[in-house]
Amino acid sequence: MVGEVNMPLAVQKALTDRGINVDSIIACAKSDLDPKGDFCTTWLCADQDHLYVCTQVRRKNPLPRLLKVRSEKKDKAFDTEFDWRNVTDEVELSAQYELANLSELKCEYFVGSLAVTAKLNDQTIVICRGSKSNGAELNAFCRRVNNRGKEEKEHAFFEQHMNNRCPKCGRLYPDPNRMVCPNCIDKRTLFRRVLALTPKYKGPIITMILIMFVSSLVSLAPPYLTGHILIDETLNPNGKYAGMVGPVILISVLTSVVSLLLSIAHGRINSGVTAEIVYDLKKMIFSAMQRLSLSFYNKRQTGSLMNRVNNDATDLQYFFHDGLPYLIVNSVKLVGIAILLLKMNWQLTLLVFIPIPLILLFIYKVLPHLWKLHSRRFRTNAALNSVINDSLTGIRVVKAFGKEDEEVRRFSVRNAAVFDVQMSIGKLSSTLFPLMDYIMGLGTLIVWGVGGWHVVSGRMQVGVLITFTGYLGMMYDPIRGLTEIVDWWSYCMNSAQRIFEIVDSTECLPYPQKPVKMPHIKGEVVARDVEFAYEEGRPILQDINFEVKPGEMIGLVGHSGAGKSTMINLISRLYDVNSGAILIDGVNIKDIAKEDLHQQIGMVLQETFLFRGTIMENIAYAKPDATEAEIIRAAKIANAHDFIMRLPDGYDTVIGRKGHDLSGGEKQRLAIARAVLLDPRILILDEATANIDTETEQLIQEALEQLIQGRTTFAIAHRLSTLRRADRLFVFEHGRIVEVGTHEELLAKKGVYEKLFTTQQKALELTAVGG
Amino acid sequence: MGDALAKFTNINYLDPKEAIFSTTEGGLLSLQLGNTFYHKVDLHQAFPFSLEHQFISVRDTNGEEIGIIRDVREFPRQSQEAIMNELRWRYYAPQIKRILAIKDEFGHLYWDVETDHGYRKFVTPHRDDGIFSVGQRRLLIVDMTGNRYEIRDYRELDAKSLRLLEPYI
Repeated sequence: MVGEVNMPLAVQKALTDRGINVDSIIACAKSDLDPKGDFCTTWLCADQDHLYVCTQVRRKNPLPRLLKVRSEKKDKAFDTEFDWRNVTDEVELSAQYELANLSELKCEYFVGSLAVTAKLNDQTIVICRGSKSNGAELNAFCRRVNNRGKEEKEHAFFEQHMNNRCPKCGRLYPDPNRMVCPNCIDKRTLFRRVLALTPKYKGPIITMILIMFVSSLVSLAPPYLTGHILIDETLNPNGKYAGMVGPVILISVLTSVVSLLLSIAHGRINSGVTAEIVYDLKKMIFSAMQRLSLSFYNKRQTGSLMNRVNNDATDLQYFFHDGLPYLIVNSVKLVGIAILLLKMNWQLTLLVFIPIPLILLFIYKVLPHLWKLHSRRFRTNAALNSVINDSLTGIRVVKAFGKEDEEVRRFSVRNAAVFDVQMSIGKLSSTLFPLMDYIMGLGTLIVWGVGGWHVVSGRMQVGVLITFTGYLGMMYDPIRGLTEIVDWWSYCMNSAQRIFEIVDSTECLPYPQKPVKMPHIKGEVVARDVEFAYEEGRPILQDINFEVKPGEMIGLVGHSGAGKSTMINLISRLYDVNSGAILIDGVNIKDIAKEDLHQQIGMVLQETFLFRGTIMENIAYAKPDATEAEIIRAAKIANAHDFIMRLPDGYDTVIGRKGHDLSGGEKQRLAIARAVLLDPRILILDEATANIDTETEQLIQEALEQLIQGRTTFAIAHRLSTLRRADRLFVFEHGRIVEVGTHEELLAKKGVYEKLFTTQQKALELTAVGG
Repeated sequence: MGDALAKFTNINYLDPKEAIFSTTEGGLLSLQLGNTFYHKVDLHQAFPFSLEHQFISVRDTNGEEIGIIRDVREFPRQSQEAIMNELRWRYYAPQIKRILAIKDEFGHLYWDVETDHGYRKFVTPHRDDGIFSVGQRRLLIVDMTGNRYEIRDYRELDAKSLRLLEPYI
């Protein structure tokens, strides 16, 4: 660490050699390509006045191929995956720029690489290039340099991101932006955390473990009873219990009854407890997910998240339901059997262990081939199914274009692949499993052979031999089971890790420590120097400044992708700005109490989402305590009352139930009613009238005009003519507000808006003529 | 009306004689088109996997299309070199020459490879999310951060590399 910046020693040396004071460096970031495109570490460093580029020195003569010197360098500053035959661990200053001449330093993303560029005397130049791995770091660097002189807290970020490998095991982080090494997550802590989920089940779980313990001990009895005791001691006239067949059989029956009762008890407790644990887990994950911000959801697919709630919880269920009992039962059995066998005849026992290495070899080396084939079968089958699914759902298209033969061909290709894998699996498993059985049988044969010889020579009783073979059969299963436990363990712990990742995620908007209570917002909205990007390197909004008075109606216009919807997301605080601030009535929205903020900002979006439930419940979504009269009034304002009353079940109509599908316009009016009921001070309309026929639009337009009265309104509309009533229009272009004014003012200005408006008018005429 | 429609539907091919591409001192691509000079233009391949020399859209810094290069090879040598240089960076994807190891752990694949740009280790999501087949034999491998690596023809890899790769394709 130098000053506040984390900088590798080699880089410090390179700078000091050129007489640069390393204490004045304010930012340092790493990239990984040289100007030729070869992998090679490059550092960007900046002080208040200069930008320095330092590169790893290449060897003039690469070291001979035989020398194995790559990968093992300990200095974490270098990307150790480079070929050390070509580069040294020395660093030299390769370029230097005066920051006074440089502007707009930024990280540009391409399809397969990125470049840090800047404007130097009006010419854009490339400062350095790199792979995408260091994007976050380089972006932070650019921000830090562009904002130098201003106060900003980026240092922590650098310190964290200077290394993209796990410090413990040296593995690459799968995702450098999410520094979790799947190898080094602390599995024991995880395990304890999993157990800690279940304090209220402590009693039942301990009982369960005890029962399992006892039942596995009891299960060891039958071979001994029916072997040694029955044959040697009871049926044999010289035995201890000679002739007492009845009592011995009775004891055997009793043990099996006890064993039965225990397994029933275990099963009952187990099912109850695991079901409850899974219930709790799912609840925990789901409520954690509700807490997370939208940006969390943007990065992940809804499908995979749903999987998480269900599958990961189910995986953990296996942990309690199958895994844990399996582990306990098998270990107890294995240890118990081993002790019994050793006690009965230790020489013979040692012989029994001979095939075990072979079995282990088989399990670890041969079986994986089969699992690979199985997973390939799974994939080829999935591919086949998707062809069938495609073709059948798109059957109208197939028929319309007369492509039936082509579809059959597509199907055949996939079908053949499934056939091939199936064949290989069949062949392999019909070779492997008999072989495995043979190896296991080998142990029994050894016992029969050697034991038989012992019996003949009178050193061993027949019953003991029978007991021996009985135990032998019970032993191989636990061995196979225990080898699977390793996989199973890491599988469960991975699920647990994913679950806790959601539970622990800080990716929620930080809500204020001391929230400002604002039960009555007036509706003044101010944006100051707002900047925002959904992902690194792709700024969506820049330099946004505006002041909106209470009750004003603002129309946001611009091409799609210009940043209008993003602006609205920021005002309603679905996301936080990257820099700058949004103020409501002079208070930064980050400081406003969450409930107050969301109670007073109402949204009507283009995509109306209605939850399963009645119309009444849907209208009252944001205000569940609304009275029936309030709901009807809201529906009337939204022009929805009439169509609701025409439905046979009125406000109690369950949406989505057969026969009660609502049209787009009707749904939209329900959404408006929802907003009316909330009675927000700030209203947001995002394309509220898109996708709706002209007549319905009239109805909705009327509803909206009622709604807008006396509220600060931000409206986005595709059809510019619908925004004529707006007090002011903000024209967005490439993430900036380029024009502000009323419809007439902007038309007179003959700028961006005028162009947008006339193009649209022409397009409308075109459709009118052509359509 | 005809003109308005044509503006949307006609492909505006750049004339190799009129459009002169060159690499700027700053390392970026510039275009002199008649009397207009664009000091920075972006290239987008329409068919990056099948026709890398053809149908390349040339766009200005605002993302507006200036025109389309029908075939790079129709252009004079200097323009050609500048275009290819820009494409090489934009669609940067080291060729994997040899696979030293692929480890399948924790739902990720950990790769250790030798590429035409040097050795590299990287991590991809498991299977279908990280390895994409492009055509019969070509593989595109995309790591967790979106870097791309390419195997032109996986059947031409040496035996050991192929054996390592086989289970995942």
